[in-house]
Amino acid sequence: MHALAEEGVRSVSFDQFVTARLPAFLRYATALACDPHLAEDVVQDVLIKVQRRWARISTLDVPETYVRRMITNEYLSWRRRKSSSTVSLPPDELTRASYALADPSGQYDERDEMLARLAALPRKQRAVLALRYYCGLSDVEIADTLGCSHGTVRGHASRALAALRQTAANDVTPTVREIG
Amino acid sequence: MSTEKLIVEAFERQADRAPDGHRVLAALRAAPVRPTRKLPRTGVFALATAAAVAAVSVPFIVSGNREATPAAPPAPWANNPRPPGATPIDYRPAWLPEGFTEQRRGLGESPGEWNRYWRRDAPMSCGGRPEVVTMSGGPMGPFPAADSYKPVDINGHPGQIALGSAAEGRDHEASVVWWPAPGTQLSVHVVRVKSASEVALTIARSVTPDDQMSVSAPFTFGWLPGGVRPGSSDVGNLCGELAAHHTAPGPGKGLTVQLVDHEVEASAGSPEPVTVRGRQGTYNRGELVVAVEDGTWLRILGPADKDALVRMADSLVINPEATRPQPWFGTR
Repeated sequence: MHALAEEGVRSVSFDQFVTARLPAFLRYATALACDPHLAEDVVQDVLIKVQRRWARISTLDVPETYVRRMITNEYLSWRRRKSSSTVSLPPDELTRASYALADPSGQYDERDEMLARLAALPRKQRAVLALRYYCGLSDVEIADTLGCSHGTVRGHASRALAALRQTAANDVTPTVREIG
Repeated sequence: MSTEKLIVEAFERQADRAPDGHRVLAALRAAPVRPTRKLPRTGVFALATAAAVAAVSVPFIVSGNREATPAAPPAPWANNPRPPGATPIDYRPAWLPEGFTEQRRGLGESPGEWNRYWRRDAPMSCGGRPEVVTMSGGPMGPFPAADSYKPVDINGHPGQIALGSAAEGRDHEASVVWWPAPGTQLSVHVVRVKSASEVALTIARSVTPDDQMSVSAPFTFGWLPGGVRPGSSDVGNLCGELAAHHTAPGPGKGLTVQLVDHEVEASAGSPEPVTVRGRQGTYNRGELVVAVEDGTWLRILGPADKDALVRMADSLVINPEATRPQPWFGTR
């Protein structure tokens, strides 16, 4: 699992914090958004805010957890802002088209197929799965991150997993069905 | 494979596509920071700016008997991907096994030699027996010993591959050396990676030219003890070490110069206070330690007496380009 490292508290400057955490924040945001460019925009906006509030944020027990929450919620609200003002190919279409090119080995395998299905999920369902499967958080911790109830988290996760399994079943080739 | 495991691996694969952070760091540098009442302003590049000013004006003690004039430090990092004075890294791998992130870059002892180091591990994890990939490049080196290497083809260029000895417990180790252009040698080395030979060859065959990457020497030496010359160096952030430089020995052992981001604990014994670079430092049995700028510490250790280490430290120039936050750290 890939929870952002939880270290003991010690006084660090903002530049030390960014040096240590920026790669992990970008990785998490990229996994969450399924879009490296959007991930970069989200992390940039969040860290600018964090820089301004560093005096307070640095006193938290685990600043990384707080910043991850900021990144998550920035992304969730970002999509709502962007969806009303931009006209473009649906992100899942772009993502599906890009996956075959992204792998230098030329092998569009089941991981990329799963990634395409994840990209097609509603944003909050994907956020719950990213926090659970990429960050390794419990449902209680996910609820705290998203500011919702434990039951709501379980509902999102359940619907997301059902959608992923249903999509996989629909992707079975006609040849397999004929044999079945 | 279960759905849950596929989800984990799919997220990992997507995370591997994360950008390198250059643009974010540039935006942080440009963003206005409102000063707070509780702490002094600490922008991302305050450390580098202070170091650059100090290096240019050289306010520290400069011995009149120093053997060489320190070179002027490179210009502060702007949007120029290759700062003046940096060594170009002309090739990069387009493929790496999943989970590997870059931790260090370094320079070899010979001009133009560079190396890059990735490991499969949490970015700040230290020690252990990590899975490692290194890539090196530079001017032509010696041909590998004929009996240890076998010929391979790397995208139409001649190469050699050697495998680690299973008898020595190195069966998950492989090295590939090849010559992509006249006068240029590249090598890829994988350690503790399953299917090491296949992985090493895949990495080597994915290597493509690059015109943006570089690495800078973290320090420029003024005076050095007799017979000692600058050797190899590394920059990155591994276990709190920001940069390190290992001098090549002359008649004796070499010295190590480190810049770390944490206070160095005194070694066993009786540390003796000394004035170093205009500040209070300590010397203890071949180890000299002094705080420099903004929470970083300079440490020099090796077989030299106190006066020699102090003189070396006083004339040392810290390169702000090499010791500022590295945007490539922790990326692929």
